[in-house]
Amino acid sequence: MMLLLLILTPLLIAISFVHTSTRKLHPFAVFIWLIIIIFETLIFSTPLPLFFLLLSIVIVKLLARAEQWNMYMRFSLYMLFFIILFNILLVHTGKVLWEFGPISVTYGSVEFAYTMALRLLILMAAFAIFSSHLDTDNMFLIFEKLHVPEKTYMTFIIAIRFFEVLSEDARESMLAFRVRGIPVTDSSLKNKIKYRYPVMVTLLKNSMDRAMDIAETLEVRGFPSGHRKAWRTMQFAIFDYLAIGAIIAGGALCLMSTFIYANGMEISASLLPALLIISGGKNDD
Amino acid sequence: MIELNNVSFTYALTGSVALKNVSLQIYPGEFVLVLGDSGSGKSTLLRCINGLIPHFYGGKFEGTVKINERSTATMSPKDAARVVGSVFQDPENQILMQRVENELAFPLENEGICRDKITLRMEEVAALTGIEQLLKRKTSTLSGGEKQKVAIATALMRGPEYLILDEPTSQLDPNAAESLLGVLERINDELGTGIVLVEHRLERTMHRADKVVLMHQGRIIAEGEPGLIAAEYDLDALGVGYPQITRAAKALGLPYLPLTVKEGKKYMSHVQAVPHKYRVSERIVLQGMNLKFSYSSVPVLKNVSLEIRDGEILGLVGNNSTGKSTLAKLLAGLLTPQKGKVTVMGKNVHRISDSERVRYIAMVFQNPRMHLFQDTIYEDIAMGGMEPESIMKRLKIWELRERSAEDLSGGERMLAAIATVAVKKPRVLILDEPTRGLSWRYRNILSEFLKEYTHHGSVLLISHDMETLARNCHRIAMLARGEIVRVAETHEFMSSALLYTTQINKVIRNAVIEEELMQK
Repeated sequence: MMLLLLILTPLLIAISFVHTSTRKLHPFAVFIWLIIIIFETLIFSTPLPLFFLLLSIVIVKLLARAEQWNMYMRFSLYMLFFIILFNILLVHTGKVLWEFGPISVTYGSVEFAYTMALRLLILMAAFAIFSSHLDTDNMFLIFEKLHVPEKTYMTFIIAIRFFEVLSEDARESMLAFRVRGIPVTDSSLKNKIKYRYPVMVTLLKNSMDRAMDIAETLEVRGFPSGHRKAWRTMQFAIFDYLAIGAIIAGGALCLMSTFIYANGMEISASLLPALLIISGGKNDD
Repeated sequence: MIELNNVSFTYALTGSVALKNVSLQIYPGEFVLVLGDSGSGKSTLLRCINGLIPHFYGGKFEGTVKINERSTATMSPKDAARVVGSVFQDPENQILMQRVENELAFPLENEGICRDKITLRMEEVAALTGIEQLLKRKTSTLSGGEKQKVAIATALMRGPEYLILDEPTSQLDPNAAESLLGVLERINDELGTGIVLVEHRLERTMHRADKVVLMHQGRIIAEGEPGLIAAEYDLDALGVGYPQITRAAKALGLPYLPLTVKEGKKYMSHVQAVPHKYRVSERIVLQGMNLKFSYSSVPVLKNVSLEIRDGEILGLVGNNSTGKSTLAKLLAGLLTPQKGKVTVMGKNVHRISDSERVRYIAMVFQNPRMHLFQDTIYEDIAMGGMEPESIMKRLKIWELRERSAEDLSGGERMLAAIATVAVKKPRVLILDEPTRGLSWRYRNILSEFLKEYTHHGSVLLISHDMETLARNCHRIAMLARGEIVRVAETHEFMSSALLYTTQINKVIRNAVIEEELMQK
């Protein structure tokens, strides 16, 4: 029963995303989908539901458009390495699996590391689809409807709008180091860390220049004004209502199946280790 | 009217005095061209006019700037933008929306203007700037020239009385630059919008201006009618330069100084050409053969073959977005072609490690920032254990060695970036648009450096600056629609070109630079 639900749910959501040649899914529907994914990623603590959540996004990717998928995934893989490494080193819960001098790898740390890795993958995959499906221009409409403060949503929109530009800067920066004979693509981990630091510095300095230019542009275009009014509206079509219904139903089914699977256990408690790590505390479990 | 009275400004971060006692009046409908060497205070002057100084940039501000009798000290840049529209240098960083029509609507949306009024204004502005066909396009698919036209259109949406532009054509090919300046002329003529333009490309802009403002080390040293400024001041010595045809006339001692090709044809009919002959070695050092490359199934290069010979400077020209940078990266071994092969000194460039390749071939990117990340440029150039003094002196940046990239002007940054790569003396040096935004002084320094570099190496020079290409290149190649459509000796190439040639060549077909001219 649970397996059936977990398989049907992603399919249901994915079908909502299929892009027709005539129109796109209403931005509000895509936004609700993203919110549901973020919510469920945070409350699911065990690998199986997270895996199925990821699967649902992969099915969406296969059925719908996701031009920015590769770019986001490349970035995630880079981050995954650090997430797994830091979690294994910093979390010390459960039975000890291996010990290397002062470093001990426990069952809890491994489980937590791959759960966090799955979460990162889910979020990045969801954002890849979200940004492929949604013009950032349309996000203005959503945020304005939700009465989000202008500065807050502009920050979010600019971050998404310039993600691609920054990725290009990062590639260009790596090449600029390679032309000087600096082995930034060296396979050794030590060299990777040593040589990628300056790449990051270059990227940061360049981003600050860009940020100044963008801030100047916003200023001379009269933003923020406090009385912004969008000139466009997007009407809901029947397809959009159906899609929103399917997305909410899919999200609810996914949640339900997890409750059945986990008997309601562990939900929300999953946030505890993460909070402990952030606050520098220690999990005594 | 825009009126500046004894304006001085010192940036808080660097502590450098950017403007000193500047006074200026700009009248409605006037086309003003602001000239000056890099770091002379041109951009700071524009920031004072649009109110970004003192509201956005911290620092010590003295004097008054008034827009239509109202001081900018009492109005925010948002308010000032209703009267003064701004267009900046980098098209990428001033486009905020994903669709062109939304970009145009953005300033009026911020004003809370109703949909009908926005739509009407959009249609008018799009027609005026010639971007009607772009309205439904995604901004990410636009070329640099199209982006700048969209930025101008967006600035016009609020119906400003003045438009200020900071080097808007610096990243554009000759065709796109000419088209953009044509749009400015039309706005000036038809709407009576005052234009304040900062530019280094004088051959395209000087004749269009009603008034030239000449800046030097933060001061306005002269203002007046363009012909008068050209006649009375030594603009080369001030690092600004002249339109090429004007410099030639001045060197020949002609009584009248032409600013345009049309005037040149009228007043220089008695001038004859003595073409310089270049000798190019037959020995090939770098060769790309049948190169094919696509980005995510979009073909960029289709079967490109190009060789660089020993001791030559080969120019590469072509419209924006034709794949010149991609070709450069393939030749530098930074990208791998889907088909074809690149060899340097007979070795396959893709089989050489990065650390070894730098002895054979290296490339400087369009954005010099990518090459500079240390606290001082000396450290950047010295990286890898090379002695930087000699190259820094040749590029005239030795005095700046203790400064960081943030404290340098655009021209200084580019020379520092070139030094970081050239210090290792690669046999082939590839420069991707190094003249972008460079003043005459820096282009001259670059030219001297390149000539010297050919004593031990070869150079591939990608540029839209035909004068620099004519002055330095032995041969020029043109890339169009993913193919090399022409490679020829510089004189031969330019003599048969309409746009990709110099002002002098348009007047006297056998010459490309002023040194080749003499009176009959």
